[in-house]
Amino acid sequence: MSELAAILTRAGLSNPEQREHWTMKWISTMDHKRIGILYLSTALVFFVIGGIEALLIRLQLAVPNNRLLQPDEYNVVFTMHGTTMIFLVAMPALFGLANYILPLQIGARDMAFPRLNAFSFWLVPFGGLLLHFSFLAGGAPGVGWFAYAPLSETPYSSQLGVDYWALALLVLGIGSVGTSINLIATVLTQRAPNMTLRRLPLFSWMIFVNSFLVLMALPVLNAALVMLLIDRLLGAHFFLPSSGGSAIMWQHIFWAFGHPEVYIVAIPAFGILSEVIPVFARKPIFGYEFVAGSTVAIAFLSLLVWAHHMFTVGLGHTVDLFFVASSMLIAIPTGVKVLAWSATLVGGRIRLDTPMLFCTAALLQFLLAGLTGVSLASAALDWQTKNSYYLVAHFHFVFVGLIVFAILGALHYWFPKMSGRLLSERLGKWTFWLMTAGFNMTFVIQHFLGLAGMPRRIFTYADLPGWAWMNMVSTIGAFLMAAAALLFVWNLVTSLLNGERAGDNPWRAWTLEWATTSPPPPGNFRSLPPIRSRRPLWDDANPDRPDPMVGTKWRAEVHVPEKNETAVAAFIVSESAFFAVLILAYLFYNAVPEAGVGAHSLNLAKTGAFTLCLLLSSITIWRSEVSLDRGNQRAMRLWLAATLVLGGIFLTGQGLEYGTLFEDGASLNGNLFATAFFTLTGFHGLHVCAGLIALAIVLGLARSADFKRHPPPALKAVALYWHFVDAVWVVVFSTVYFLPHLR
Amino acid sequence: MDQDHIRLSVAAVLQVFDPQSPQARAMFRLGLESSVIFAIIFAMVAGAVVYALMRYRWHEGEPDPRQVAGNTTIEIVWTAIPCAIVVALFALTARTMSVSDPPAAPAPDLLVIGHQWWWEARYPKSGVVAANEIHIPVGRAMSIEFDSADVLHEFWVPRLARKIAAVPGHPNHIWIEADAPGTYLGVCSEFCGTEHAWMHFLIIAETPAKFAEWESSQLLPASKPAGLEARKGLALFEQTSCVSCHAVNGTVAGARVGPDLTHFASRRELGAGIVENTPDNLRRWLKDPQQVKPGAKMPDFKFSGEQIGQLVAYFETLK
Amino acid sequence: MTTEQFLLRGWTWGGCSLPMGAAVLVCYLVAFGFQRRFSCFAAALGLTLLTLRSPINSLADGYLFSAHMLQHLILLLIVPALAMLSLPRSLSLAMRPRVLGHPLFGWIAGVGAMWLWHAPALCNAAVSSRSVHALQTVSLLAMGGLFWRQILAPRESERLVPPSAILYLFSACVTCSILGIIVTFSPVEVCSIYSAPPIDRLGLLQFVRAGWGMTPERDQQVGGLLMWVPMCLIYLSAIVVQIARWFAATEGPLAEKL
Repeated sequence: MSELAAILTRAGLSNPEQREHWTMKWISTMDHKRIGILYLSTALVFFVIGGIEALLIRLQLAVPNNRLLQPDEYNVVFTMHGTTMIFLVAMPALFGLANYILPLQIGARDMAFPRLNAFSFWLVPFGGLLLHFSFLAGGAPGVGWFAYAPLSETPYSSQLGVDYWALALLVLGIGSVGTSINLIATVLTQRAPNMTLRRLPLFSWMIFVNSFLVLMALPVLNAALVMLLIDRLLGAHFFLPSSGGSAIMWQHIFWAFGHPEVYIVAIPAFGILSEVIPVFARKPIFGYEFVAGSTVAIAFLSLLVWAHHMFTVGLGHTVDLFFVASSMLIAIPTGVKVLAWSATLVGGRIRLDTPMLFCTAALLQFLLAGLTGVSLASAALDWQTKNSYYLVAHFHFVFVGLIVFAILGALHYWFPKMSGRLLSERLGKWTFWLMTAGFNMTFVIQHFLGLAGMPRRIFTYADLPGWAWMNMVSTIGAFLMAAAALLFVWNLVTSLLNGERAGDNPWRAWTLEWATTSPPPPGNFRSLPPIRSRRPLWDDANPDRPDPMVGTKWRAEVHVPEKNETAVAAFIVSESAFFAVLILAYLFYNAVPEAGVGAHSLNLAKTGAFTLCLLLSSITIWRSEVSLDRGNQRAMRLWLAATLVLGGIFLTGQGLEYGTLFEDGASLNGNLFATAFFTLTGFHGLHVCAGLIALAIVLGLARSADFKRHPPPALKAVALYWHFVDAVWVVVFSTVYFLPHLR
Repeated sequence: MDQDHIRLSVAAVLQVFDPQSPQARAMFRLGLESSVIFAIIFAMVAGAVVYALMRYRWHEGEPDPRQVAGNTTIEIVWTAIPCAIVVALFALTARTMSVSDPPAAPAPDLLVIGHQWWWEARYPKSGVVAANEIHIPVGRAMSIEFDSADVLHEFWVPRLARKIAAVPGHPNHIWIEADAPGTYLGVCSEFCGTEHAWMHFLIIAETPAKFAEWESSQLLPASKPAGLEARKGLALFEQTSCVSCHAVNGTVAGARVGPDLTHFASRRELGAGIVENTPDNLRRWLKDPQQVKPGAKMPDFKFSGEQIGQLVAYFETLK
Repeated sequence: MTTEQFLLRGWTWGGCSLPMGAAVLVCYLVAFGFQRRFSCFAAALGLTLLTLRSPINSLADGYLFSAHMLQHLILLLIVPALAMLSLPRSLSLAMRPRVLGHPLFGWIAGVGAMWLWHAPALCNAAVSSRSVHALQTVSLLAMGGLFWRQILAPRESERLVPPSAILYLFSACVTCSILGIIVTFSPVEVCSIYSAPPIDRLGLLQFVRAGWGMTPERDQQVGGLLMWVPMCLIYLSAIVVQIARWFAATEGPLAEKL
């Protein structure tokens, strides 16, 4: 361990003179830069694990009728490979980059909530551990990364693997939402003066937009996982057709998350390309407005297209056609981006250093991935290519060809900033060429394997004409990629120790992260250059031809919102998505009433009265806020206490309702009404409890002298949350109690 | 090699490029049309990038170039062009969808049920029950309805028809048709558990006369075995738990869990494509199915060598 | 009956919408005169009349839920937006009391109109009763106006700033999408009157069901998808315009054009 400490010291990552042990410093850190590096190192560790799994897959498929792996072992390997690469490599790596770079790019001292940041990070290794613990707990999941029901249900997968998988993804999902809330709050509240939203560097802009997408999409997955876990652990049957559930429902919910997820990992990669390509072409991005705007369009459209993953499920031509149209539309903003990057190159003075090599390769590979993507959006072509190796090739061109290449480009680009040392260019170029050759060798041929009729996820195949040699080529390519990955790790280690000193701005880049030392000091900046355009350092270096000033026309850009309220508002967005799924599920499962308990068993009048209590509590907490604003602390505390009591009464009412239902013989695993009802109202009840705890804490704090002198913004934030909980109940109440009477 | 020959050898490998039915041909044509569009786009954009990389390289000592931040006209033009391409592709897709997947017939000619890990085919009009080998008459489109006995499966015959999922509780329909007699390989393309890889099936297209002949032969009950070994095999079959999963028409066995074995010996493959249906392979299978197809739902019955011999002799009579 | 015959015969010229349209036209011309923005007004008026008088209305009148949905979409989202654009830039739309001008009010009006009129009881009533249908038309136009006022008010100062406008439009879109999803995938009819029309007024039923293959299930799917995808695309276009408006304040190439 002491050698490691010495290495870190030499690399400038730890300081032996400090009293605390360096490991403690890293474990307890709340500095966004260290957390960023922790995220990246975690991603690297899991990348090695996921990579080994990939090699096992390719080894098994190298020759026909191979028996290297048993079928179930193979199924576990590809499930873990997919889950690991998406949730434990791509997302943490991109969050790591965002964590490190975004506050620097906007001239902030740190993230808005450093503690939340550390918490969100530690959920990643914890989630990864939970997922991999399933190996010890009697079998890792072997149901594929999208765990299609009913295969993922207990009758068909009885081992604990799927439960660990679902729990791990829940944990990771919560961490991702936490980070995104933090990133949104950071961008909205921590920007340096004059760093208006329209002057954001594209990477930061895209991370900002992307964070909204995470807020919308991840809770949808969380809802799906919760429903799956209720099925598996509590014996319900949301997704079990044999007991009245719906197998297609899982696909809808999963892909409503799954498709945005693709963009969640792709948009930061777009951001990287938009940073690196201009710097190495020595020109600003061609059409900043269009690149930034198309990101919003992509994020928006990505929420609208999920059913293109379901063209073969039999939703009918009507539904298919609408989704063909919406999916193809994504090609337009994406095309705008690709063309903007290409046009940035034209007329530049292009320097092909390693970061640029990776990014141009990513650009070209993404072009191909985009085109095959359009072919998959065309339902009639999808009917042939879906679930074949053509699809495998397509999404690996997105995930590896674009995202991994962009991340590698970004690491080569920002490594000097993080460590103060340059990566070796010679090793970097070797890595690049090995990687590009290996990647294309592995995946170009897989398009043809798909057209030859090879379905995905088969553990072995018959010796059909052409299949054997194509698979062999693919396997050899995979090993070239592995060699490139090893070389990259070697480059990281040696350059960290003996790399050339980088200086503040080795690439002569223009965004604020290069305006501080490498690595930046705690607090990030000693002084900031004037910010009047999108490229402050260009203006600084070229006073004779500065960029045109980017104006501040809108009050929204000058007004800085309060960070706690911003975070709670962002949290509310994510919670709304979660409840939207549960409410939709309730509606679908109860469209046709079943035998047994149902909406008719509910007591509208009694619950109506308790609902009034809850609504009243929104008024009391509003009065409490008003009292605080007027400086009347006693009234504030009284109104707050009234809110607590009203909330308590509502919960009691819910308890009574549950009691009556149980007496009627309802149980969570009874019929679909009971399952959906208890899930929906139960989660709402949990949120009420959380709100009550938060209120009680505020009430407790309000008694302290410190609170009386400087009332903190906590009350406003909690009140916002409380109003949300009430609003959700209004929707739940109308859906569950009122709607049946409207029929 | 002449051109036809090359085309044939490509088609032998790339099944999708070798459509053998009107439905598959429509999709193939759309594939060609869109590939041309994609190839042109790729060549133009990639060409521009490569050209820029070669033409605009930085050389030591050069100053930064003119700072061009964009051009709205160009941006609008290159937003409009993809719009037009998307509209065209959409129209082509809509046309192809109606050709390659016409509306379902009121009553299906065939009911295909996915099981972990084999396919059951029922001909409701004649009452034939088959497994993994689906016979169709040439030149007549057959309407198929899909169901699943357990998890999701997906029916894919690249040369003949669109893919369609077999979803429990959600019947789906397609049309299947073949231009010429022949055997067409089909696979399950939706991951369905342990032995997803071995869920092959064959579409056997025959002339209408041959198809009718096949259908009537399949309707016959199993013939009574003549030889002593085979008779012992039948007795063993009826006494053991074989009958709790399998059916043989004309015996006590009538379960629907596993494949119907009435005409077992007329089938070409065992274990949904894993091995050829020969007495030797059958012997291996009966000795321990888990050795041949690990994870298959049929357990190892620990038959003695003698018993296996009897069973094989019996099954070989089930023509 | 063939499709062409239907398209020729499906027009209705009775009712009070023509005289009312003429009255509104006169009012507009008297108030604002004939100027550049008149084209927007003409488009709004033309679309309204087209929606209410053309074969779309005949279909919506008891035959096709999807036609009814198309009417909603035009009356709630397109016509009011065009009408807003037709007003001269100097006109103030400030409202008393102030709460009417609050974005939340506009949002609830726009989203609420969609949800409210698709409650099964109201949806059926709007088809079976002429007066409810008229009330529906007027309320859709009015609530659409309140919704778009926040985005397209003639005075720049009365509009939302772009980032807020984007959130406003986005959340409205998501909320309408949810309704669209419910309608598309709902196993039961939202508007039961369309699946079993009590009377076949124009003798179209057979033609629509068999000729066009619009079974009640497919009809509802198309209706739901219209509410979901094209409506979202309208919101998306508005969002793109907001982004352009936002960046147009920059001294860049875009500013020269806008």
